[in-house]
Amino acid sequence: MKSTALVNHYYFYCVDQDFGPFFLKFCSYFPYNAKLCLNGHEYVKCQLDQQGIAYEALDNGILSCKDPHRLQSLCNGLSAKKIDTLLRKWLARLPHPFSNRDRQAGYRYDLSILQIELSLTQVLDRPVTGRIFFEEVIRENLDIGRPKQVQLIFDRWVTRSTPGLFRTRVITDGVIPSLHVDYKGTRIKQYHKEGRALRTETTINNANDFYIGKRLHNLPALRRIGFQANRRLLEVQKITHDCIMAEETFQQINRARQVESQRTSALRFGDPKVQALWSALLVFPWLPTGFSNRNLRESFASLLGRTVHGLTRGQMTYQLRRLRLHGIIERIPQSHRYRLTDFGLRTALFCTRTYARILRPGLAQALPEIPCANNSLRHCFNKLQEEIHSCVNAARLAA
Amino acid sequence: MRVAQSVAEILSKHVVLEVEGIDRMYLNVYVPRLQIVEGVLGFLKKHLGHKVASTRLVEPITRAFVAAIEKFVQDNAIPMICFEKGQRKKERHDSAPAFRRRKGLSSSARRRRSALSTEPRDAAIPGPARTTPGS
Repeated sequence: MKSTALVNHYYFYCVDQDFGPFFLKFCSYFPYNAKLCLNGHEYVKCQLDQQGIAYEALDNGILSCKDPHRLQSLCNGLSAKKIDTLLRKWLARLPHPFSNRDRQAGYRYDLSILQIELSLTQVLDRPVTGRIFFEEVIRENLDIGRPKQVQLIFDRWVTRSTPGLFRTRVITDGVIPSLHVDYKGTRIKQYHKEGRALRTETTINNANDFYIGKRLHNLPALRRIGFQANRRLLEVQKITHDCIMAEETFQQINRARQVESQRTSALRFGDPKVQALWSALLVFPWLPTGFSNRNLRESFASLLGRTVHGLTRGQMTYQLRRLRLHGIIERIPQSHRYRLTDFGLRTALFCTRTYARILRPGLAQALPEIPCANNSLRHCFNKLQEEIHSCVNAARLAA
Repeated sequence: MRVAQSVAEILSKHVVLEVEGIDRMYLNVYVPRLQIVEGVLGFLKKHLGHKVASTRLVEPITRAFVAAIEKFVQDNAIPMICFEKGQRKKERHDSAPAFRRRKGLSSSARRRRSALSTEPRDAAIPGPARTTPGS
C-alpha cells in the first residue's frame, strides 16, 4: 500500500570537473529514489575554464565573455546525454543500494525532470537601462498574466477549463522588482540580476503542462518551449509598451503643448485646417532646401479653398510655429526655410491616410443616412441595430 | 549618453551580451521498475527470491546502504552534518564553514515522502509484517 513516512535522506555535495557544484540526495528507504540538482551556468563556467576562454561571472551567470558565440554554443551543448553521463560517473563513485546483480537484472537508475529553469540573460550596458526597463515594463504589463496574454506567451490555447491562477505578480525585494507570470505549474520570472542584467526565466515544474513526458530525453522539447516563452514575453512587452508610447505621442499632438516658456495650441486630428496642414506639408518632404513660409502658404491656401492673398503671412507664421514646437518641422539653420523631421513626415503621412482612407469612407459606409452601395460594414451595423431594437422590445414585453 | 526611451530600444541597442541556457535543473533519479506495486513484488519475489512480499525484507539493503555511506564518509574524511528535527539547511549554512563551501560534504536529514509499506490482511492469519520505514 502507498503511504507517507519520515525518511532519512543523505545529501552529497560534490564538485564535478565538467559540471561544477551539484548535489545528489539519496533517500535511505526503498525504492531508494534520489534527486540530482545541477546548474547549467556552472557547467558553462567549467567549460570556459577548461577551454581557457576569459569571462566575468555574474552570480551564477556570465557578465562578460571574450567569445560570446562560443559561450552560446557551450550553453546549447548541455544535453541529456551529458547529464546522464554525470549521474553514471557519480553513481560509480558514491555508495548506492543496488548491486551489480540488481543492475544486470534491469534495476538501474534512470532520470526524469522534476523542475527545469530555462533562462535568457541580457546583460545591459548600464544599470540605469535595466531600471528604466523595469519601471516601464512593470507599469505597462500588470495585465500580462491574464489568460489572453498568457496564451500569447506560451503559444497555448487557454480555455475555461485550463487549470491555474492567471495572475501577474510584482514582487519587490528591497528596491529590486521582479515580474511573475503563471501558466498551470509553469512560471516566468523576470528580474534585474545583480543590477546588471535582465534575466527572463521560465520554470517548468511539470512537463505534462505541455503534453510532454518527464523523462530526460524530452529535454530538447522542454528547452524549446521555455526559450520560446522567454522570447514571446519580451515580444509582448515590446509591443504593449511601444503602443503606449504611440498613445502618448498621439495625445501629445492633440493637446496644447508648452516647450520651455513657449506655449502652442493643439493639432487636433479632426480639425479640417490641421488635416489641410498635414497634406500641405507632404508636398515638400524630399526638397533638399526645404520650404519657406510662402511655399507652404500657397499649398495650404489652395487646400483650404482660398487664394494665397486670403491667407496672411502672419497666419502662416502662427501655423509654422506650432508645427515647430510640436516637433513636426525644424528650421534650417541660418535661413528662413524649414524642413520636415522624420517624426513629422511619419505623423503627417499616417494622419492624412487614416483620415482620408479609413475614417471618412468607413463612416460613410456605417451611417444609414449617407447613400452608399450595399456593403458588409453597413449590413453588420444594420443587423446590430435590429438586434438591439429587438432586445429592447423584448425587455418591455417582459416588464 | 542619452537615456533609452522604450523597451524595444533597450533590447535592440543596450544589450551587450545575450546568453540563453539552462539554469537550475532538479532531476528525479529513480528505478523505473520499482515505481509500481507489481514491479516491487517482482523485485522481492522473483529477483530476491522471497516467498512473501514484505517491506521488512528490504531492511537489510537499507542497513547495508546506510553503513556503506557512513564507511564512505569515514574513509574519505568527508565532513558529515546531521540535521536535527525542524532544523533548516539555511541555519547550518550560516554556522558551518564546510557547508558554505559545500565541497566534498555530506549531510543527512529527514524528509516526508511517499513510501510503500505492507500490513497483515487479518490479525488471525499470518501475513506480511508491518515495517518501520526509515529504520
